Amino acid sequence: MDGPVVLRIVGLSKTFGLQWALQDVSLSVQAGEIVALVGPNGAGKSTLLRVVATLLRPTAGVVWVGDRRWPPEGPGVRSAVALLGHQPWLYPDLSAEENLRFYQRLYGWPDDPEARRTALAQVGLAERAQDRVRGFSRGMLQRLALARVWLSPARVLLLDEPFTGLDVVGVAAARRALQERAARGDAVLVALHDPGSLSVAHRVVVLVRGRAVAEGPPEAFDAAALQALYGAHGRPGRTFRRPHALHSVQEAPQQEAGASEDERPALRRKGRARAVLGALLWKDLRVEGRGRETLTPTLTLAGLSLFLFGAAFELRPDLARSFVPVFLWMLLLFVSSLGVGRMMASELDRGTWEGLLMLPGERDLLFWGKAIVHGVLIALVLALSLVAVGVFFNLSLWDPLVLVLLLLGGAGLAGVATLLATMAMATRAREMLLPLLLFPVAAPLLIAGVQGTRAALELDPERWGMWLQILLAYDMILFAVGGLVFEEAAGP
Amino acid sequence: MGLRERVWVGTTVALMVLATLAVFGYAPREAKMGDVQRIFYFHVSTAWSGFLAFGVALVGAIAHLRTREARWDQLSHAAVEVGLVLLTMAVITGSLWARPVWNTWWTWDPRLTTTALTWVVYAAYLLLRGAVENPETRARFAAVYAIVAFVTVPITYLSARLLRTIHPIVLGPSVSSEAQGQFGLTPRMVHTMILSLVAWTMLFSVLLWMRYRVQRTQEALEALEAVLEG
Repeated sequence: MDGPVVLRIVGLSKTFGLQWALQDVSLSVQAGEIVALVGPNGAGKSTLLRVVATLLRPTAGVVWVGDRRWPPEGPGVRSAVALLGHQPWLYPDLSAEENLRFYQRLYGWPDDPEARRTALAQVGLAERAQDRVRGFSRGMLQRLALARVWLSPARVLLLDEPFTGLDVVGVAAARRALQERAARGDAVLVALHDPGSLSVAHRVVVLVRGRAVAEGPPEAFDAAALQALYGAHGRPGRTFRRPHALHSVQEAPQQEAGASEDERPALRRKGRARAVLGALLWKDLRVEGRGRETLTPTLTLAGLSLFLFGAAFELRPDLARSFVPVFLWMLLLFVSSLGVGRMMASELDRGTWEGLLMLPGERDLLFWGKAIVHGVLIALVLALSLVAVGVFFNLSLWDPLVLVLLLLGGAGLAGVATLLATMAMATRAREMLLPLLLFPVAAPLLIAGVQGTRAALELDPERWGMWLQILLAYDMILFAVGGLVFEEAAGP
Repeated sequence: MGLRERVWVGTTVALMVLATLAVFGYAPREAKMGDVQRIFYFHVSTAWSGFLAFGVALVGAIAHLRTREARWDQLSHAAVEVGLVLLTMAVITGSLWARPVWNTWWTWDPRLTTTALTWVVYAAYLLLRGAVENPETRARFAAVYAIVAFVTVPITYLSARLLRTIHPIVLGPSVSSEAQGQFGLTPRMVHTMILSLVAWTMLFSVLLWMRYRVQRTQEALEALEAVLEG
């Protein structure tokens, strides 16, 4: 192999707390080359792939993908790599074809039905294209996940145990596809654990306890040789001091970057924003429409809460004008927390969150996309609640002045709940933590909303205007902060 | 503790003693409220130091996200802890003052409500830290939340100036005609107030530094233990 280096990893280290996961790993992959990473369980193979894919930030060292260096150029690197992780990143309520279409749109690849058909045929799923993924076996999920990678125009493929769960036919097809991509000039870094599958690679790098301990042609590493290598290296080290970030290695690989963001018109910021937001909205509405995992329970809860409130208090009409706005806004706050928390947690539970994080370019688009989806959810809850208020309390809140406040409040809640749910879902006791984080930050929205609604009902436009301004200003602050810090909240 | 630190701590102690003496001996007795008004020097100073602490937490959070260095996260964490203690003192002293003057320990006035919200937001910050195991993730999430949480600080400041409130504004012009317990400052009151503000700001800096050092030492200790166990 003497092609240009497309992927170069220099002095890469990664610690989790005080535990080394990777220690000073350096390797490079040329265009058209397949490099296999092999090592015992916990050797750091997946961590290495995740660092290269920008899902983890290295503690030290750098990754060059073409002329993009990570860190700091995560967005650029993401546009040049395709990752197959442990999770297949598939939505059970979408069909196989729809799953591929979603990732085509999200990642800015051409929305080409023919390419989807070809990729599905390549993995033997052409006849199941329109079937929902929910009924797929583990092997079929893996095939579909591979089809997503084969669809990618990226020049660097990162594959973590691609043959897991595949039958012999599936393995043969995957090997063939891998070799075709390499023949096309793509660089492939693939983590494997079975010595029998190493022959797919041109070169093998052995990783033990986070260190690259040996390198050579695949035939040099049979089961006995690998066992000897695994046994020869000591237990993982702990670090007292973190290694310093490596800044000295600046030079990019010789030439030929992976397809860069600027080269693909679909990835230009404006067009991409539209594509990403459209893809997220399309996917979430379709998944929710079929699975009804969040919307139906949320709407039911909202209606039930208003009914119980009405039954418990039996408010006189004059008191209803004063108390119903309070309850409505409180309901909005609780429902936002529950609904948004559930939707975000679903991404994590399905293992699709990493697939979203791999979207090329800046991740703030993910924030805006998710906030819009959550805004739609809150707007639907609001619409139902206003109908319920009319029925249970004989009070019409379909007043433009009230609606403006409710929509602004709902938008602010959607934004801040999206940001905080992104963090909360990665913590222990996430269901409890999200309201604890959200309620105090959202309280000014609640106060302004209640006061403004009361002012509107009392026909006091001056007070209404003041609260509207406060609501608007707070919304803008929340969205500005949310857009700025979402990348940090989402990772790595 | 080095000489410079001893001088720093010694000066702070001296200033605190001096400020306390000034509050009870130098500042005049307020004509309408009597001696209970003297709590105002503690209330304003602790509130000021508390909000200053949250400002430091914000700076530490931004610096951590930019550099990823643990020390900035530790500074931010220490600032929130000290800030919460100071803000708690401000709320308690305010409540003690409110009972004889407003005839209630607590009222849902905009200034009180927003201050309580600030307290809850920063308490949630500590809960968030406790819910994340990975130290790097914990520091990152804490930094993000510290930035979001700081939004409540200017709101608290502006609440008494923009909204109808019964909370007096002694420093600066008051826009609320409904303020109860409003009083004018005599020159001696101003001197005492300035001295109190300086003393409490110094105390905040000492507490912050000590808490920060304790956290750094704790982390080093954990690392040493891990090395010994490993």
